[in-house]
Amino acid sequence: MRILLVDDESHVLAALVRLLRHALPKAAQVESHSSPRAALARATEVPFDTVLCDYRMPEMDGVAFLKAFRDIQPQVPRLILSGVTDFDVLMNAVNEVGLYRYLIKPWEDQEIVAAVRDSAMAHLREEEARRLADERRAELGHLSPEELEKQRLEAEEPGITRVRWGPDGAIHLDED
Amino acid sequence: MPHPAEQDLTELIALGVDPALLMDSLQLSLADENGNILYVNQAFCRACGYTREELLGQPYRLIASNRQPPAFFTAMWNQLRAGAAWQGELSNRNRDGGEYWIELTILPVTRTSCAPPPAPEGGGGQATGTGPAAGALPHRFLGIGKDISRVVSAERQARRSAERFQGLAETVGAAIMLHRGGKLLYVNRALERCTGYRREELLECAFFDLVREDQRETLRQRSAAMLRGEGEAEAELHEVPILTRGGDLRWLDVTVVRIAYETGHALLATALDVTGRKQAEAAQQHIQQVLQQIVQGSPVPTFVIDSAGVVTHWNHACELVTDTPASQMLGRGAAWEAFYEYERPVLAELIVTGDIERRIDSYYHGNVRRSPIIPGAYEAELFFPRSGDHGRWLFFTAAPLRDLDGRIIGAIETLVDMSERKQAEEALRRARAELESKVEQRTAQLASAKAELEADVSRRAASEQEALRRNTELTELNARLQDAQQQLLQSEKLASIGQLAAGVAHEINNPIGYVQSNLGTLERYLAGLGAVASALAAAAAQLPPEHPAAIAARQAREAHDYDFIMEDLPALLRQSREGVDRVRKIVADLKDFSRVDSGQDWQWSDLHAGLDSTLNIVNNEIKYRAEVVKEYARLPEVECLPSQLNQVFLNLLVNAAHAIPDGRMGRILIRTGHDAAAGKVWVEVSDDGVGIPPELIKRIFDPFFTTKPIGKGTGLGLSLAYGIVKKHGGELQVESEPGQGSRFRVMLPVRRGDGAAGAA
Repeated sequence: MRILLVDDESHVLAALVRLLRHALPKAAQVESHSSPRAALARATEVPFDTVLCDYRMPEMDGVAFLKAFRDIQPQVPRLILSGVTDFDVLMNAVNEVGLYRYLIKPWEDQEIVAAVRDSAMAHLREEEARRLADERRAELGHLSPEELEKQRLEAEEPGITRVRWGPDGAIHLDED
Repeated sequence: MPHPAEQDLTELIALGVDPALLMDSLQLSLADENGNILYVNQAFCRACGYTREELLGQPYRLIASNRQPPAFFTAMWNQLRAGAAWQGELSNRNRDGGEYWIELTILPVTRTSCAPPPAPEGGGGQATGTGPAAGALPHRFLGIGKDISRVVSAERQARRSAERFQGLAETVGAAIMLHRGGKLLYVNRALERCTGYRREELLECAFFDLVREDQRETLRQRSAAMLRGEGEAEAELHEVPILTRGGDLRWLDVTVVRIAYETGHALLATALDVTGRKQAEAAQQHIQQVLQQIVQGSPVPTFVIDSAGVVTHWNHACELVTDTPASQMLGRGAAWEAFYEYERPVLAELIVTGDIERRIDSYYHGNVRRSPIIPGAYEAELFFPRSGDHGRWLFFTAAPLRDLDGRIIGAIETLVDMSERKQAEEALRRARAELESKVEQRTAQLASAKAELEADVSRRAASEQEALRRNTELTELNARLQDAQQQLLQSEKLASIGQLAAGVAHEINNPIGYVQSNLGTLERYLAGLGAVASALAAAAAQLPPEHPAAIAARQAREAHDYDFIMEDLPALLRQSREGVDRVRKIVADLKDFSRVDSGQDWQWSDLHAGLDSTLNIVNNEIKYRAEVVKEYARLPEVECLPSQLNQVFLNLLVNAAHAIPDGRMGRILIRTGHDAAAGKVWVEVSDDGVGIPPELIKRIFDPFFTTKPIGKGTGLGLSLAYGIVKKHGGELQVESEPGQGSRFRVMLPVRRGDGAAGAA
């Protein structure tokens, strides 16, 4: 179980890490980033099971971050934890990025723990189901060796199998 | 006068005529001394018609005709008795009353002498006689009469005509004179009157002496010529100026005829005093001149005719209008030529001839009428197509000219060229028609304009009303606008506060978030630490008390007051949580209060929640001044603008806090209630502060009214609160007693719009 936390305030991240380290199973790995860009870079390297970010951040807001993250790891549940309670912001976030949950600061610990664990568990279940289905398809010959390799590569380095075309025909190799 | 009978008798006797026969032709009578008849012959009897017997002894009076007066006979008898013969003519009356004249000679006969006296040489009809014989009185009287009735009759006629002439001459108005070139032989009374001289004076002078000197000689020569029989035998007429005795000039119309007179000829002149006429003539001439001037100088075309229809005046204006020169008209009786193509009488001529009334219609066909101004005058208006360029309308007025006696001696006629006037009249008529139609048109326009005007007036009145209403509305609107402006100002202030609060909240929420979270972790950690410490303590208890480790553990526990820490930690954590929680709540309330995230929409809202969040915000103002007591009833949600109502509550709460004087804790009571029947809820904020003086209570809702020191209050709070409550259709009531405190009550309809009727 791999959790990604993004917030520009390190204290918040620390508090959340403490909380989740204690509340989640030992096997769970909670990774936190105060820079959304660093987090996105990391996301291209490591697959996560859930992602939780702040809304108001210096580099980009939560919605923009999650949209970018979705491009890298589309299946991962996305959560926002923010002090911003504007209805507009909330609605935009839900519609733009397909939020799993919008959580409000200050938060109730149990709420956070439950939301993160549930979303990650759900994702793990889905991944397992897909993996089983793929294996079954491979066994039945429905899945080509290329596809299997593609999935392997994708699991190893998320997003590597997808070419990101720019509007001018250029190929984007990196986020920047 | 020689008596013919005497001559006849003498001649006859001398011729041998029988005296008896002769005597028989004479009327012989003899009377006694008393005059009584002694004898009459046959002739006498035949003449008088009486018989001799009837006459004898009778006086002559029997046959007297009484033509001669008694004095005549008295004189006669006196003469006879004196012895003188009497000879004369007598008028007798015969027995039948008829008169007969006799030439009578009466001879007185004395006793001594019977000889007849000699006849007198001449004489008239009166008795003359020679004197009687002296010394003897006549005792008989012989009368010898001859019938002279025929003679007498002729004579008498002659005499009568002479008398008649005389009488006539004396009585006629004309002066009569007779002369032979020298002294006047006869003048009548009229000449006396007209000359002023008496008859005696006139008979001493010649006619020419009376004549004015300049004419005297001419007249004398003329008279001399007449007397000589030169010239015509007819009577000559002279107009002679004479000077009266008084020196006045008089004019005589003298008619002179040459007559045989006595042995030669004389001039008989009759003269009429024509001075009056002359003067009248002179006056008339003058008048004529004046008339001439007037007529000639008159700008009115005028002509005058005399009684014969001859044109006497034709002035210049008349020449112009008729195109006929005066020279062609004057002196001729053809006035018509100037007007008509055929001969016909003009108006003036009809007047002169006097038959205008009878003939008028045949000539003027009713176009003529009597002048309303001039008596006897007539007016006519005729068109003359021949005259001028386009014909002329001429207006004639003809008036008679009369002399002093009122006889018509002419007529004057004026013509007025009416063409221009006619044209003007026509133009006027057209103009009037036009004007009338214009007037009609204008009247119609005026009427419509009037109607419009009236409509306009009523519209204006209405619009004035409207304007007034608008003005009132505007005034109200202005006031509302001002309120709204203030409200907006306040709202903006609040909005910015809200945004600020939102920003602040976000910033605060981060630390709160992790502090709160960390506190939870800390609690867990401490629990872990406590467990570890307990295990360690249990392990240490296994050591002997003097064991250095045991001693160290005991010292450490004591030094750090371990037991107290363990006892105090839960409280510490709990209090920290509380603090964090309070901060979180304040931030939440601040956001709630400003509602930046929920707009200004009407929504169903819990007033208590609004009150509490407001209280939370203003708690800082209140908590050191007053204790806040809430007495909340059960309230339904109310349709309202929550953030605005929160402002109302805020103002009421702050004011309540400020009403409490410094130095003592006051008490603020917040009560709510629900009048389900009226569909209303109320919120009451009361304090036990200083209260509001009655004179100010009316003004507390006025904008900018404040009793607070400068900088402490804007004076807008209650005004805004009032406006907000009104907007909700509610009421904001206040009760206050100085020194006792104030109570503000907000009444609100549960449902928006329900309270409009009850709005104060």
